Amino acid sequence: MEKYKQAWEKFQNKMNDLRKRQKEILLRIYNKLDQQKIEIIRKKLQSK
Amino acid sequence: MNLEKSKIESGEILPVKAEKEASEEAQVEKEPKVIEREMMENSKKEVGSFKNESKTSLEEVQKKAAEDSLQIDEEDKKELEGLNQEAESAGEELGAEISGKKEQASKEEFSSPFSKKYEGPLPPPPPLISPTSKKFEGWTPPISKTNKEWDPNSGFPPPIPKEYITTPPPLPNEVIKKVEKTKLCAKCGAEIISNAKFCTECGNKIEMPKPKEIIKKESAMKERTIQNPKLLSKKEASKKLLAEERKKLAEEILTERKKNRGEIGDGRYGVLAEMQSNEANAMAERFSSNKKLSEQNAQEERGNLKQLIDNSEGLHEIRKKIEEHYTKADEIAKNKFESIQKTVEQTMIRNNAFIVHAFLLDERLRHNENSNISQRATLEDDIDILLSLEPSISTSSVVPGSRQGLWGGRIGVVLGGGDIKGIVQTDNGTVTGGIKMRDGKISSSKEIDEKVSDKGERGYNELVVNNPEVFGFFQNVQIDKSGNMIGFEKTSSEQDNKNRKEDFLRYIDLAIQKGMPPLIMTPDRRLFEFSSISNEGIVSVGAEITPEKVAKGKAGLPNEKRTEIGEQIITKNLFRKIKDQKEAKEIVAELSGKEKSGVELSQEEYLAYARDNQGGFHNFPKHLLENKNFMLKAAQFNPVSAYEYAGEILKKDMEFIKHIYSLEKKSVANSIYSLMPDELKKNEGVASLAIENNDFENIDSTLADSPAVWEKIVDKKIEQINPNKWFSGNIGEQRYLDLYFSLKKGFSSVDMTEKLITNPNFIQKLDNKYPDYKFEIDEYKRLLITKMA
Repeated sequence: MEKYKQAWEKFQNKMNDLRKRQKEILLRIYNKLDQQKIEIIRKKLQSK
Repeated sequence: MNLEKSKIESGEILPVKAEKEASEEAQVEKEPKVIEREMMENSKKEVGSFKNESKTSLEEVQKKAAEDSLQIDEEDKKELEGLNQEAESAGEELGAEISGKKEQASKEEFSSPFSKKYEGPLPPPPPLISPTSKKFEGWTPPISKTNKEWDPNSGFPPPIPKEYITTPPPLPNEVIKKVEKTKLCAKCGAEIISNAKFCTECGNKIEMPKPKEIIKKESAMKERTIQNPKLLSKKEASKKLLAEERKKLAEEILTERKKNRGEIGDGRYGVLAEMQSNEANAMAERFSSNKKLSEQNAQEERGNLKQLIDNSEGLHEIRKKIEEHYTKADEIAKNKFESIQKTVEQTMIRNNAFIVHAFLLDERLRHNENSNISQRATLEDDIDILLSLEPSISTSSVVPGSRQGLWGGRIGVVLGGGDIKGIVQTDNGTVTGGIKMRDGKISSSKEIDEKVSDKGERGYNELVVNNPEVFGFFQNVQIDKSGNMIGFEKTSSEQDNKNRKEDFLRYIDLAIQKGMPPLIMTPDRRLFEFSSISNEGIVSVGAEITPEKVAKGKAGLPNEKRTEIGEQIITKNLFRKIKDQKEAKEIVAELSGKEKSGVELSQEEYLAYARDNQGGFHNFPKHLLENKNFMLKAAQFNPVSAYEYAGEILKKDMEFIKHIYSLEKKSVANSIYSLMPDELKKNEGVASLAIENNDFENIDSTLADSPAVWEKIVDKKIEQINPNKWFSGNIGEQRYLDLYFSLKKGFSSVDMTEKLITNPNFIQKLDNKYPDYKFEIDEYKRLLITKMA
């Protein structure tokens, strides 16, 4: 029984790690999009 | 097989559907193969759910990017997609382990940083902050659908371990120290020995910040004396807050006693009289502390009161007045205490929290429908309005060392003063009702404290603050893996980095220009003085700013400066409502010591308002609506509305009417004729003018009897029929046209079709005007048109 319990916990830990990385990547993507948006606004301001 | 039910239900170990659902029978031991099969089924579901979340999140971000014509970094996208493969492998590995095909992997290989308490020096990534998002509510993990008790058959993954969702600890002091006191080599990241010109690790030349990049951060805000909340006793409140009334009351007692003195004799009073005398003495004692009442007067008063003993009714009246006075004083004292408790400064001190107003960078969203400011307003205008007029605004509170959201998020101001109206733990959607008025909940200081002191991870809350005084301007930074504060994410392009740095410094410059100390806010909502930013985006900071420092520091511009900025703002006519423009002028007038009653708006201000509001003449004063020169100018922004609201005399002015028609040539939908006074409608000249301008559908039907007017109407109808504009058939083909036509009698329509088609000139005129067509009236009174050439 212990074998199953340990295996399941490991699986859970791995999945949690993946979720954390998923969150980090999505955050990075959003931050980069924000930077692009800021660039656009900056260029607009410069052209005014 | 002795699986504990509680452990299964909590999801701590293998969740088995049969055991949850079934009766006692299901709790007997199961065959290992059954367990293995169920574990695999559940792991497959979890992996599937993970992949699905990845897909949905990616689709969502792709959609947002597409809406703003932005590009997602392909590498990030691949990395995100790569996680799906890892999730598959995790499932496969689980299968291998439980079936014994693989030895148990080493503990290190499977241990997750989130399976134990967070110990790393750095917090996890900051909440998602997107100025392009409509609402920022802090980061919600994309897979956090598991707050309720987990159902292993739900298709969702089990709850995220508590450690994962717990607020991480604030940046450790060592890290802050490191940021404050050490510099890192931009090439290898090694610590630089103080004043060294080259890196001891890689030999890279150390670039020292140029003098101009080190920001002077002197505050132009005013020094303040912070009121300490102290609940006064009734007596103190009477003396300090109702001194005038207290004096009057004392004088009233004195007068009353003098009046009664003559009516009182000696030796006629018993025990009751003695009691009343004592009471009177006590009253006189209470009022003798009034400085304006001399000691001599007080003594005299005491004597007088003693003589009142035969007049218990009079004593009762005075006692009643005194009680009312003290009740009132007590109420005022409590209100004053509560209002001090509800100030921004006292709330910050009590709860160790900042109260900030963040700006949205997206110009389309910064002034949404809840705002009273035009979308023409720039960020600089917004800051000027805030600093000069100190309008009622929406803010959020954040506790240093916590993960808490902010509206907009990247830049904003930290308030040092103001009066909190109320608080809601989410977005309250408050709307302005004027510059100094914003709707929303009214909260007690107790309720404010309960919500502001919340240190938990959350999205933004909303506090309405009246008369806000700005302490400083903040810009958010992120923390990189080395513990550096970074103002922008470094790219491989030097030009891009230069642009990003300029962008960062643009806001710092703006803050300095406006006299606000530039500050840096970390993802865990700590606040530091800004020092400089390197070409790589690394931000150097000075001392940490605590909420108490903010509360006791300089805040709000001095009145002279507020007046100066306010006068500039007024000239820009940025308010959506004309009454707000007036209120702005009144605020500025009062700041410069003038009476607000003397404030009037100029014609230029009304014209600017008409320009921005397609008229809005219903808000204009009568004298302007009667002013021909003004209305001739204002009509350009909405001719029909200008005519509708014009003064009665102006409405009958032919020059004005002609001007309105000249501006409204293209439109016949908005009939000017229908807005004319009745007596004018009967005028043939006016009717002819209306017909010439295609405004004849509302002509008074009695004018059809005038040959001159009728002829003009018929000519206009013939112009309207013009088959050259719409007849697309070949020669010999026919089309029908419904000729229904009406004029007006009051609000009713009068059918004029018969009169039109029986007019002997009608068909003749059509044939002459359009020789390529033949025109006839059929039995249904329709116009039959045949193409002849």
